[in-house]
Amino acid sequence: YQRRVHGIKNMNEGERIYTELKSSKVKQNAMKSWRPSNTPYQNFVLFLTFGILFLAIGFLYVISSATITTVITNYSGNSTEIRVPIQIKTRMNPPIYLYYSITGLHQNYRRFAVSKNAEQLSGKKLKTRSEAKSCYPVFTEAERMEYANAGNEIANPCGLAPKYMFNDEINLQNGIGQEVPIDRNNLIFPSEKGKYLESPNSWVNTSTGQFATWMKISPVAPIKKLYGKINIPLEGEYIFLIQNSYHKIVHAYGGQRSIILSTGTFLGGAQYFLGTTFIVAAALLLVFAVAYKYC
Amino acid sequence: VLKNTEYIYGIATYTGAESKIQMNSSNAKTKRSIMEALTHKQIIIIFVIQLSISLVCALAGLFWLLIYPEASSVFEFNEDKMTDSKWYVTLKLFSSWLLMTVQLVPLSLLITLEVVRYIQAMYISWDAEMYDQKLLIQPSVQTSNLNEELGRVSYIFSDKTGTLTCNIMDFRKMAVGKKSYGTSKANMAPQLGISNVNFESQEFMKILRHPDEKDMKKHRKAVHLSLFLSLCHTILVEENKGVRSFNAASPDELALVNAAKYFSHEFVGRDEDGNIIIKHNDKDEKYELLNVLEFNSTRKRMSVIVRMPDKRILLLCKGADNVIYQRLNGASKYKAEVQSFLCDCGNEGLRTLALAEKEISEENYREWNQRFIAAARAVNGREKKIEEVAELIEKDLLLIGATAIEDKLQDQVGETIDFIKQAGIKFWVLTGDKIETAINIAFSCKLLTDLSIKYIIDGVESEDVFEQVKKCDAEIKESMTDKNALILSGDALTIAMKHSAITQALVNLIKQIPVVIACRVSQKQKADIVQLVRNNYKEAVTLSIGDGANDVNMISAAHVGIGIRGLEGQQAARASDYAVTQFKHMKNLLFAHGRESTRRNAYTICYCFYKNALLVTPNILFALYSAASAQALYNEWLYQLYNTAFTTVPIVWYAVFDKEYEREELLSQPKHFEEGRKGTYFSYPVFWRWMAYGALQGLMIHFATLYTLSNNASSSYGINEDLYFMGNFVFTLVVLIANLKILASHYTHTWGSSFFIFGTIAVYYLFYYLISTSTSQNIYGSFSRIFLNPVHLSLQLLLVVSILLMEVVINQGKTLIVRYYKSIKIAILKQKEPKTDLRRQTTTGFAFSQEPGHTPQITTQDFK
Repeated sequence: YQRRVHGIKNMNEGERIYTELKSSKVKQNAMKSWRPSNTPYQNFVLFLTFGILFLAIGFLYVISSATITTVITNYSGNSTEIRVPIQIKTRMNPPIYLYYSITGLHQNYRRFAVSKNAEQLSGKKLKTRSEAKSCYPVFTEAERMEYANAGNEIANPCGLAPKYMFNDEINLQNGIGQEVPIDRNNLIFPSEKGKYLESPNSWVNTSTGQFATWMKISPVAPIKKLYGKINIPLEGEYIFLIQNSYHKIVHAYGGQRSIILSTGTFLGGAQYFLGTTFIVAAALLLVFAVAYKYC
Repeated sequence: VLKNTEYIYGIATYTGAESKIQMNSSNAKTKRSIMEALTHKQIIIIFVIQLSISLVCALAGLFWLLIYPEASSVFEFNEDKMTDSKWYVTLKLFSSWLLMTVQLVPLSLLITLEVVRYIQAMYISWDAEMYDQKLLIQPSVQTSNLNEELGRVSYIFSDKTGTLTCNIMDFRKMAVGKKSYGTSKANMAPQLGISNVNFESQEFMKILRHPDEKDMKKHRKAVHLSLFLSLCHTILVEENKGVRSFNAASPDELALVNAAKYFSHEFVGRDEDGNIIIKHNDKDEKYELLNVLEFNSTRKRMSVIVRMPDKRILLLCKGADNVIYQRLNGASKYKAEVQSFLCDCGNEGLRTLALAEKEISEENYREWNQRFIAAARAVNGREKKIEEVAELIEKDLLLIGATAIEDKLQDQVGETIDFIKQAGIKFWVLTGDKIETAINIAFSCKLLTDLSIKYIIDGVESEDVFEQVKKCDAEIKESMTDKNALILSGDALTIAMKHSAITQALVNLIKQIPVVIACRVSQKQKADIVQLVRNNYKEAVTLSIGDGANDVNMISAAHVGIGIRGLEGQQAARASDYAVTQFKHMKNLLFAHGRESTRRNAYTICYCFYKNALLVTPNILFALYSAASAQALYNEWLYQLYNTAFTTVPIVWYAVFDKEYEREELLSQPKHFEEGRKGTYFSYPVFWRWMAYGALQGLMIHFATLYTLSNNASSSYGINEDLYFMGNFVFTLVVLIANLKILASHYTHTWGSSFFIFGTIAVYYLFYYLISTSTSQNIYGSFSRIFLNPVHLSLQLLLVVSILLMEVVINQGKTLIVRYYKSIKIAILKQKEPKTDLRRQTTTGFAFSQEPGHTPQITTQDFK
């Protein structure tokens, strides 16, 4: 740039400035650029490529989803232990995922979702209501237990979200009374570990995957959360043995509980919706591709 | 009168703030573009929509609580507490929803637009084509928030002198007898001591200086005509330190006398006895000046009566062709040849004068002179009497030739005006000049052509004016040609403005006329005219351009004011929104910068609303799943950075650098301007289409994500994703689409467009990563899953590709439909179109700028 200005020093001032302006590609907005052309043929290729790609992905999702077997078991009642026999007709190959599902609870209700204390959950001890402000309306043990004599110290953890935690214990026995092992590790992603640490004097073990899973707010109203994994194949008669601790709570808000056993693929659960969406999108793209080609 | 006075006492009155210009000037108003005003209207509508959404959602939230008492028991509303009561909860929901939807009115738009306009203004001032190399001045932008207005201009009001013309007259052509000389392309080298002549004809110079034997007749005629020019005028000679200079009341005469000097008849001056001294071939010749019959606008001619050295008495008369032709002797020759010369010159826009003479016998003269002296001494009605007497002698003339003078135009005025007209902009010239002069200039700057049909409104009584307006309106409706031009006199305009009926008729009339020339208008009237158009065509954008202090009112009255920084001082430039040095710069300003600024700023405004509609829609739709509890989908931090960091720079780059057409294309195809002028870039439909795109795309993202992710594992971990991951997945897609949409909208891709778009996306991922490493954040540890998960990746691909391609299809479909309707329209128009009347109008170009009474020392007997 300096050299360029230097080279035109002899010209008179007006011409010099003009040349200086004129030769600046940036100042004249004449930077090197390209214009994407948008010919029907290019569009045809573009739409065709994505159409075929989406069609393939869509079918992959649909076909892989078709291999998934799911067994849903509802249960209710007020006895301390519930036994629910189930029949698995098609053989389920591991890994088999065990979910619990609850209807009637809006975890994603704003008042519910925000009612917890992040500082407390990362290990700080709270003493006053004002410290635990975000836990409104459940601050104290008495409020958590709904029992006046339970004491007025701040519940650990406080808030609506922990208070309504699902606490049924689910076990599975096969037809001859043998325990089917349920793997309760890895309920959260490795990258999410460390959010909830173990806290002394807490009414629930906050470091478990089960607590972390509960505290992850479900996006929609019937909640479905991972309870554990079964690493052996299942087929035939089985019995669920459930320690019914959650009955009182779920009864209060009129919810329904169920247990879901499901196999999976490397893509997770059944992705019929996603697969169908891909196929519909692909169909539209292909229609337009044809239109670009022949219209 | 004061010519030979040693010194005088003087008082300066009406100076400074009391001067006419200052008293007439109006206060400058702050200007706002139409686009901005329209945006404000949309903001009000959006605000109403925002309130309605909030109200509906708050009520829905209340009803949900009432309908599902069991389900809502989990939230432990304590009815005894004031803050948990139903009405309080509803109010809280309402305010939460207001906060959720507050982004629908993007505050960032103001800042974005300001930055964009500021940089656009810098680019206007950097434009090399608008740089004045002689004055070393760059164009300056005083009001950059009118950039987008430049591309919507549909009325231009222009001053004449100093804006269109240089106020320099050049002698160009002449007819001697039946022969005419000079070309319009002449480019004469400057001669010492001779100004205002640009005459090139080797043939004539040869006849004049070195005639062949056979050309002697022509030579005599040429010499005589040259002598004529040196005698017939009212110029004075001033001598200052030995240098003689002409003091002319009329620039036309100055050009003629200079031409005579060039043809070796130099006017030296007048001696004490009233003799005119002409220097011819280095000899002084004396001509006795007997009478001067002055020029005025009704006579349209002037004559001198001189006694030649050979004692003959000659009357030399120059004036308007029609006036001279009426007074020619039947035996006068060359009539047809001179007439055709006059027509040619008139169509070219040259100012023409016809020259005629006659010989008077001593006897006749003496008799006439007595009547003249009597008339000149009359106490009452002297002027009228002189006119009557002059009429007696100015007859039976013999035509000897004609002259053509060019009122020099500024550089490239003709091309610029032609282009402006082709772009469908209505062009008004507002001038203080007389009708003839104005028409003349209109011809020379291609505002009028010989195909134009002129309508003149110059009545002095209200009935006349009304009649003329109505007649003109009726004729225009019938004629169906688009080459109409209206010539309006200042007096007629004053009358029209006073009577509302005439004003209304005039307003209806001017809407149909592409070219209007308003003559004899004062500076206040200039502003009134602009205001008249503004008030009656609310949708039209007006632009005023002028150079002098008398244009200031007009400049501040129009939507856009352009000042010409020139010889006439700085007032106009200071009052203007854009200051340039030449009229021709308007072409660059309007058709390159203005047109593109209009398009890009419209895009910027729409985009800023669009991206926020895209952002807010999923949040609103989530009300369907969260019992309208105003639960937000997005991470607080990222949400706050959306408008400041994740979507800002690419749109600024687009708004400054994108080019739909290259400059050469824009400056050669006036049709490209029409789109902006007609408001196709920004209107209610355009704006709400963008909003609808935003909402629709937000809806697509929201539902596709919700139905894929909720209660369904998307990896072999078998873990279902939570609300905040889903929310942030939606947010990531919103950021991607908001940015990639700009990439898809660019007509020209530069390094910057790609760099800033992908850079902005990268910045988003960086912030996302940083925030996701904090355990206190609700999106803790979710960063890697956005990328390293086939389901999430394919869903992103699906949505980004579908949404971008959907816009391609919609836009092309729209273009197809528009093209289809246009073709139908054109076909209909073609059927209707009548055969245009191609009758050429013959025009001669008489114009002469002089007022009577400027030089009493020549014309009044008392001074002799």
